[in-house]
Amino acid sequence: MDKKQALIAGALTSLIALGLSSGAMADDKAAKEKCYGVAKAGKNDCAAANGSHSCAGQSKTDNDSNEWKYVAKGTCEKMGGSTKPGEKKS
Amino acid sequence: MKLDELQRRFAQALHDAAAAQALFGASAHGASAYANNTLFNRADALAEAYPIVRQLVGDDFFGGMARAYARATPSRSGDLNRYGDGFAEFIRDFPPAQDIPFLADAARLDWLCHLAYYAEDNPPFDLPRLASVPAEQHGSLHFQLAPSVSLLRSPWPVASLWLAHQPEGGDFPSPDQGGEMALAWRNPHNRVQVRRLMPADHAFLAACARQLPLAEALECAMDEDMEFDFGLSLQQWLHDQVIVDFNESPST
Amino acid sequence: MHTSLPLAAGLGLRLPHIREVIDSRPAVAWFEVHPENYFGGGANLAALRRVRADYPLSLHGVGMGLGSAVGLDAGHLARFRDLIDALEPASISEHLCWNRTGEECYNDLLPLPYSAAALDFMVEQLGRAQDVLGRPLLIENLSSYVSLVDDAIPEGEFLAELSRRSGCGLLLDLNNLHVNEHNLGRSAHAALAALPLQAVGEIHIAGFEERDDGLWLDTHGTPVREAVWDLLDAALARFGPLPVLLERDTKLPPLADLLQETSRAQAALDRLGVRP
Repeated sequence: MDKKQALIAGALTSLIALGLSSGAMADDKAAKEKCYGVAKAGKNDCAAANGSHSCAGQSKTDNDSNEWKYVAKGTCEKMGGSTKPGEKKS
Repeated sequence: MKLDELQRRFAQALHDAAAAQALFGASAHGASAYANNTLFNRADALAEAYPIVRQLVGDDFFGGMARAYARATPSRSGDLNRYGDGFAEFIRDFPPAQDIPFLADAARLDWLCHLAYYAEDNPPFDLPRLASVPAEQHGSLHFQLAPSVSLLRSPWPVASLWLAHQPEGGDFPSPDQGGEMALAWRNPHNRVQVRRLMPADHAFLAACARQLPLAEALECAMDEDMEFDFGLSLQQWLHDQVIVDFNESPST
Repeated sequence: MHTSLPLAAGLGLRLPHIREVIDSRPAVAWFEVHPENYFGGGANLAALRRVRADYPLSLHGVGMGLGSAVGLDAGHLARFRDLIDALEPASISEHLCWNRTGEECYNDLLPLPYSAAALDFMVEQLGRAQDVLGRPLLIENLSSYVSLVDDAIPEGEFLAELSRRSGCGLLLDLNNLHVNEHNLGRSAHAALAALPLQAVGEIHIAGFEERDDGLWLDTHGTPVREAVWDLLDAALARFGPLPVLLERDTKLPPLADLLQETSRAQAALDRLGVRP
């Protein structure tokens, strides 16, 4: 067995011995935790604050002209430094 | 009029007053309601799928950009969550967004998180089954990533940028501080997470995604970093449900 | 019987309220959701499973576009079916509409012409869809912003015939009848009178908003208007007790406000003197 094989065998053996923790969580608690990823409206959580789908019509109206009139006013203003990609590789 | 002909003319009438008049008669002014619904349903779907981009540029700029994309890009599915997969490329080429050169990669990561949010569920890793595999076969096993997992390599600090937008996230990175490799996936609590990866971790997970056996995936990682702590990384990925299964042969 | 929903007032449940519902288990007889928001897996589906454990559930589709001449979207139907198998809802429903051509999906509820040809086509498509889904659908009447030059059959008669020939039940949206009366001059009461007593399986109520040019938009963004509450009394008097759903999709108020409004629908049912 070469060094890599030994490394793999060692890692998998200790993995099996350690097991995956938190298996004893009560079913109800586990089921509830699975819901906690649901995004809350108005928070910065990613994805699906409202759900994209509804059967309602839109009351917003399209006032876009051909001329672009918007200015980026968001968290990009907190990004200092240059706006060239970094040279160094991380 | 045949139904397919009528529906084609209906679609045309959304943006063509003469066509609307011919098809809808006295009720033609109602056609604009459908044009609006279509446009804003798409733009709103983008706002849900691209929360970091939206925060980076603000609601007005985002809305204008999303409507520009929506006008230019047909939807293909009745499921709006599938709409917007080309938004990053659109942003890359969108003149008003050129001052924010990392915006397209922020969009790429937003989309991967969106896919992760709706990815299929998977059963937890079957550790007892792994225990039944003889140790000499371990190196030829193919570890499987969760359906929610994506990897992104960027010349910008995209993972740090994403994390800075989370409720308890870190500081905003400087755009020129260097590129990052990001892992996006859904954790055991069904929360979408992003993690900045070291090159060896990225190499290992990318190798797993390519269906390479464990021994070769480990070699990819150690090419990046001879000191790669394989045992610790593996334990973490199983615990976080980044790796969720294994096969004895490559899965198709 | 088209559904096993209770003959009581239910509420359209939207994602921003779902955790509050799970945590506080409010006294509502049943909930309805849009299945497309729960396609795939993850937190949305996990949360909906929790809701389903405590309440009867209705899946009200918005993306099927049953009347699209280009045909049914097999992938979309399969994902709907997966959700039905996972949740075993008390009711499933969709709209009398189309949404796609061969080139593009419009992600909206677009009206069909009320013609004999469109009726034949809908009956056929509905049969195929119900075969894939494994059970009958309730089909909802639209609010429409245009009349089509091909319209020949009154709305109520079109719906009645669709139900008779396809075996589907009807989901009667009273706000949509009210909006259509204003926008298109179609009589809401005439539509009610045309529907067979046994065909209706569920009632929707909601609010609308007025556009600057006077067109009413079915935005589900306000409380139910008094005229629609009156229509509810008229519909219940005609059809007897039915599951009645309050829909609110935009300008979403706190859950407590919607529970309050739902209780008014329950009061309308209670006035019939028949308890579920």
